[in-house]
Amino acid sequence: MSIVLVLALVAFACSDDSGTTTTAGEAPATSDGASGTTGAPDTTGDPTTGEPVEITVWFAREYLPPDLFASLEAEHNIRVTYDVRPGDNMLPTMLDMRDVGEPLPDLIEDDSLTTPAYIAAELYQPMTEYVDRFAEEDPELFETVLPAVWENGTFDGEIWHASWQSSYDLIYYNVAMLEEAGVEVPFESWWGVLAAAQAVKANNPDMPSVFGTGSTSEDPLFYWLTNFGAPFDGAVPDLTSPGGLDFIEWAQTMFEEGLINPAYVVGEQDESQGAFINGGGAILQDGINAGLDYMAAPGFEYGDDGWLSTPMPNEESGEQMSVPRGWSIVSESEHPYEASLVLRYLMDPVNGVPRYLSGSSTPRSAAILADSEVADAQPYFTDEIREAFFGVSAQIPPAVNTREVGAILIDLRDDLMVVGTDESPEEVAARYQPLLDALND
Amino acid sequence: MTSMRAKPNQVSRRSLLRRSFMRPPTEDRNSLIGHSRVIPYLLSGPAIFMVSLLLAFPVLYAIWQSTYRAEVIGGETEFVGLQNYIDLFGDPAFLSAMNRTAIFVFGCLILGISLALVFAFALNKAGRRLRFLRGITIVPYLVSGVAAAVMFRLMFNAEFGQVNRTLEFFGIDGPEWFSTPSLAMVATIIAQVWTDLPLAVLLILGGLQTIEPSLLDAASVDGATGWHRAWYVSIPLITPQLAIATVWFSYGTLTSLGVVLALTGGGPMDATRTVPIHLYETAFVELRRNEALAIVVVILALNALLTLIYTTVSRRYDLRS
Repeated sequence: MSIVLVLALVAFACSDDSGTTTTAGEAPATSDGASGTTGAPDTTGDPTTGEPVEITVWFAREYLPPDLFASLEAEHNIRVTYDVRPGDNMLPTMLDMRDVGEPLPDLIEDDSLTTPAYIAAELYQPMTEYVDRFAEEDPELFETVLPAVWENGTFDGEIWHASWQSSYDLIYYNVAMLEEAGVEVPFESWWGVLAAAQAVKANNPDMPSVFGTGSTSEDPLFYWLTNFGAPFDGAVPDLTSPGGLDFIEWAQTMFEEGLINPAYVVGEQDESQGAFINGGGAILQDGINAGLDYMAAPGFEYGDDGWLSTPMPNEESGEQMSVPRGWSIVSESEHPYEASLVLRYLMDPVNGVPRYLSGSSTPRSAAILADSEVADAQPYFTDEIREAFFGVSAQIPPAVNTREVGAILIDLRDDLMVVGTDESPEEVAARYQPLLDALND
Repeated sequence: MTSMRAKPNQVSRRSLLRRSFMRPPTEDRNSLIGHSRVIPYLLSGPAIFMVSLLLAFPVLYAIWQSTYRAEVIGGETEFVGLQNYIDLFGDPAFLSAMNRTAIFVFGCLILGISLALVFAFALNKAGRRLRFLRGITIVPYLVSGVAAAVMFRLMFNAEFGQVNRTLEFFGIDGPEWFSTPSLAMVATIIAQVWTDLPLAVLLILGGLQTIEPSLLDAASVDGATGWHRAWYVSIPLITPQLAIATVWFSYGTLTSLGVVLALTGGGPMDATRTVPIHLYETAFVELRRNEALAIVVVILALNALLTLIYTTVSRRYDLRS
């Protein structure tokens, strides 16, 4: 009896270890008539039996479409089983599943930078053909999708990934503090941000922090190095380049002059956000969707009496960068076209707007970002920022070793902005560059 | 007198045991086991099978897989023998992680066992009205490691954390706990000890409650102070429980991932990057699974070694044996 119980428990534990698995048929429909306008012919079910085509979708985050795919089944006879796998370990999970012969999902959402690793592991299939059909069958919806979605997912001439949504950082600032310091936005460069921080600190010498990063990940390092114009070889930046050295000097100055709070550099995002909301910092670099949290913060109003936002600056040779996440069709999928219809359904503003407003990263869709509900909810996503967002083509370098590079860059960040170093920028670069270059060998 | 009576009894019990094992099945017809030597194995077989399946197989699988390596993520693996281990011990990052793990484990052991002893002695002396404290002791054990890490992250916050506010009350400037490498390790040790302390306290308390009061009374009559009674009577008598508590702490700290990952993520400057963090990053960031399994085997070997040392030491000093 106990053996049976143990086996039942093991089976139960293995059946659902990281998320919610359900099908559209089982899920309660929450939509008020959401409709999938995929533009595809309504004959995607099995033509001989009339049975619906079963598609399994894995989400990386819990932001689900409002009708939970019900309209997709009603209109296209595609029954979707979905699961949320938020642990950022989808690739190892899929490798394990393939090793033991378990069926893999048809369509998955993961960070775009992991695409080369999936391709190397032969877990993705090219989707160029289905993107072309998308353009033919539903040109109206296709036009609303920003070109970067496909450009960022193209490798060796084939589209492997739709970089559908993107994390994009802004500079949030406390209006009163910047006005008091005589600082004007937008910032032309990162040295301009540093000068602003100096001016704010001059007025608030006891303030522990005037600048935070709002993130513990490696993303800000890639943002900065791209903005400073450091060239990349794959995911490896050239720290010895003028842009790389400029960044190192800037970071060292921020630390030495007490303009950045080390605790907020190594701390959790909530801590620096809390400090910003409570007047403990005048300038904060954070993602677009963090603005929703600031909008909801009591007593911290958006506008001239509270906080505003401005785009990230660039140095002369630098450019804007984003950290996209998106969708790919799994190599073992027997229904890649139907999987691509699920992707179209997710790109439809009817489903994309609610997902975005519930907190997902920013969709790269002109239609969704132009939606009046989005505009009302996100006044901080100004026309100026929107223009910058639409123009972003660089992304966090997608490569097999991006995370490993990121781990070394976090050490560099700690060296420069948390602990501090007396070395010159050239000496710092000379110490780290071999470690980074070794990852490309 | 006692030892003279005990010796024949022990021999007799042993010989009886031997005889009962050698006894032909027909000798004891009323006993199910007596009918066949196979029956005991048949009865215990399913349990042995289940334990092997659930516990031994993953370990053996990990050892086996650690001798393979894939050149490409998800690609075919090829047998490389001990090369993963050779590379591991030639990797400065891993050796640094080993050093930090040693500091972390011994820091946790020293602080944890010391606190466990203090709390256990105090709870052992607690009167009836304070017995509820024994129940409360277990509370940290009910809190998940990640939740505990979040709590300690707030407590050690340089600006609004309770630790620095308390220091400020005494006129001391609180440090930046998580951005100073050595202090980050101290904070991590404190958080880890907090999560692992309850079981150690209860183990040692259990040991203290088995001590015959007459032994302590006799020591008092001989003029021993409270400190002497604890040091020369109680602690030697609870050596087995201390050994178990020490082994428990070493297991907990040597394999601790959740607390360290959520508290510091291994930083700053890798100051708290212990072997489990190195393992996590090798497996889930760098996606080198076979190499990660080699680290698993090293952790397993270290745990086995520590267990062997503690049990040997405890056997050496266990006065009751």
